[in-house]
Amino acid sequence: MLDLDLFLNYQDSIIKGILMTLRMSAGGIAGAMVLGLLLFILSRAGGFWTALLYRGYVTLFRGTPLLVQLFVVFYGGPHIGLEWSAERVGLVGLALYGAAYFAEIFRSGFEAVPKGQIESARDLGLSRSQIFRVVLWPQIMARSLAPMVGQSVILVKESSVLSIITVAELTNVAMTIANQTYSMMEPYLVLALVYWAIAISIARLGAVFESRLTHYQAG
Amino acid sequence: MSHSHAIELNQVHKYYGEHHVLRGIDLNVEPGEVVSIIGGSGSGKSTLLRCINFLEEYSSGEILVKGQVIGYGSKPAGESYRLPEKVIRESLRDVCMVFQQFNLWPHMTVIDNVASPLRLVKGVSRPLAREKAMGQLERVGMAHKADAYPGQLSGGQQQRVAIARALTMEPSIMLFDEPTSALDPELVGEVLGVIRDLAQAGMTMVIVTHEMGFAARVSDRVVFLAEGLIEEQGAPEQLFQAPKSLRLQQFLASWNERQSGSSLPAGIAVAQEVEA
Amino acid sequence: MFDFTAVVPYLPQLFRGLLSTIGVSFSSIALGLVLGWLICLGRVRSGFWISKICAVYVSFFRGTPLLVQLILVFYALPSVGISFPPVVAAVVALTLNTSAFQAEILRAGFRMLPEGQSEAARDLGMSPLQILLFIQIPQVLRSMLPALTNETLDIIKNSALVSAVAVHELMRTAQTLASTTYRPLEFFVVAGLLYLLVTLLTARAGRWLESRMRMV
Repeated sequence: MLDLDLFLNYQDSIIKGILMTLRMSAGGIAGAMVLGLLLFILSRAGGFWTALLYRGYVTLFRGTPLLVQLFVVFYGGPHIGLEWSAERVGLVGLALYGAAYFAEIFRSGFEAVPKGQIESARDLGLSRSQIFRVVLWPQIMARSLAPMVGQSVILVKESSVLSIITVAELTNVAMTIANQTYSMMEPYLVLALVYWAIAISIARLGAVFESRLTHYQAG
Repeated sequence: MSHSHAIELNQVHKYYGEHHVLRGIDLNVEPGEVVSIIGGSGSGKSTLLRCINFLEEYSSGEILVKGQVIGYGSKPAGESYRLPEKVIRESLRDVCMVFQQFNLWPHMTVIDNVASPLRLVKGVSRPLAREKAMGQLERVGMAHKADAYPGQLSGGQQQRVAIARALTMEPSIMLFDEPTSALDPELVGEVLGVIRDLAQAGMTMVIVTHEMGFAARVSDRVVFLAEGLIEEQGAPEQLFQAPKSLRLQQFLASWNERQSGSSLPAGIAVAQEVEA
Repeated sequence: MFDFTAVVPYLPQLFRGLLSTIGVSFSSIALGLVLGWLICLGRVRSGFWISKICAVYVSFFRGTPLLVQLILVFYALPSVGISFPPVVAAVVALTLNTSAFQAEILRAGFRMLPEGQSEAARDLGMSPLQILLFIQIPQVLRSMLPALTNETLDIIKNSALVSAVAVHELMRTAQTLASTTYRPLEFFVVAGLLYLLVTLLTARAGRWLESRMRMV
């Protein structure tokens, strides 16, 4: 039988672990969204070098494993005078990694807006920033919401990777408990269930938001 | 030996949930006969056709093809049950359908579209299947596109390939479900030409169509369906020039109006077209 | 400061790791495709309970981190008597994971198929199995190829996590070398570049396949 008593003994570190996971995920997601938006705006700015910079960033961060990115900064950083704590590396790492995905989500949301709308807005005399704020942004958001929710779930799951660079988040705590108690099944099963619950909650929450944001779209 | 009709429908009913689409259809089609079914949208004409080849299950009544009941068997005690899919398809080997949307398989070339059912269903060898397929493609004037993909063809060409695909199965009965409704007006003629050739070759055919002029020219009999019932049927001249029921008169009048933009009396306009 | 020449003597070792990464990733993708099809068919073609079980399977493996799934296969399963050699365990975990994602991709492809094409096949006398094999599956695979390519890229990258549970693939090799030579920056950057190389080549191969299979 599963021995669930052992969780009582580790109550404190489990709660700390959950909080750390939530902190890392929330911070990482927020950072990734902001940075992703900046990247997207950069990609719209025009010009050869900005386009190249954008492509390069996206290719690099989407083409390599998050673990490698974290290791470069965490273990490689000190060699070039970058001595960050594991938490800081984790937070920045998640944000940099997620930003590449969010930027692409915004970009394809933008590309789905019919170009005729921009032309007619320009024709009506709206300025560039007005067109972006009033015409484009609400539509980009409506189209991007579902993939943004999906990407957020992915980042929560990816935050488990931070355990490998010693961030004391949930996965790390579960490993510690397993090593100390020699019970391999219970901590890891419960660990999986907690992530599963978080993922499902985010997806549900996203569905609610989505139905509010996209009410004007037919079908 | 008793005479058997090519197709025989006895009191066929069809429900979609609460919706009573077919309300007791009685219809016989004789071997070699060409029957056109006309009627407004929602009259149940496509459903009727789809029940004959059992793409839809009919709810009650009986459909027989060459004297054999389609879709259902009956237990000794009398209650009926749905036959296994394999048995149903076997009993419908002689019936092939041509669809409004052509329904070619986009991932196969034209020749593969036509030849592969023959290989898969009848186990015909690849070279022989291709040979037969080429023969039918020639018949519909599409042999030169044998290696093209459906997406590269016009609607009219796709429909001709679909007809060739059906013909390759060597059916004795063909069902046409609005074969020209999805086509641009200038492409309708080539498809109707192929169907007319088939009629002249003696194929038994049931055609659901909106092309009244064509129905008048090619059919032995025209059936007018309204609200799931056969309202009127008869030879095309009789039906188009001297419609008896009020519903058919109204249907033909509104059809003529759409065609010509004027409102000539129904009989006259169609009569002109019959002669044309 | 940077000295990438330090990496050069170890390149053969890194390439062996790379090969192992490729082997583990692609066998998981292939096995996952088979399992993914079964789960997809379980969801769209089966009775209530099988369909529900498949839905829960998909939700679990998509809703939990791959690292946790790897840990479960590596540490939890042996505690109930199911244990595999490390490489097999890695492939098992990655396969379970990717099959859930691929099942969803395939299911989306199924939903996009026009009903009429199967009806025509049925009318011509094809059996349900023939319709599945010759009409539906080829089209689902073609239309979902971009999504399947992306899933392959994800698995290649995610296979780096296998290093955490003792398979000597690329990441693990880089870790070992980084710690024995005290040159983490160089080795991890090179490892990153090797991953980038493989993902870019795979993406290119996916696009090539797509253009070849395009139904004009």
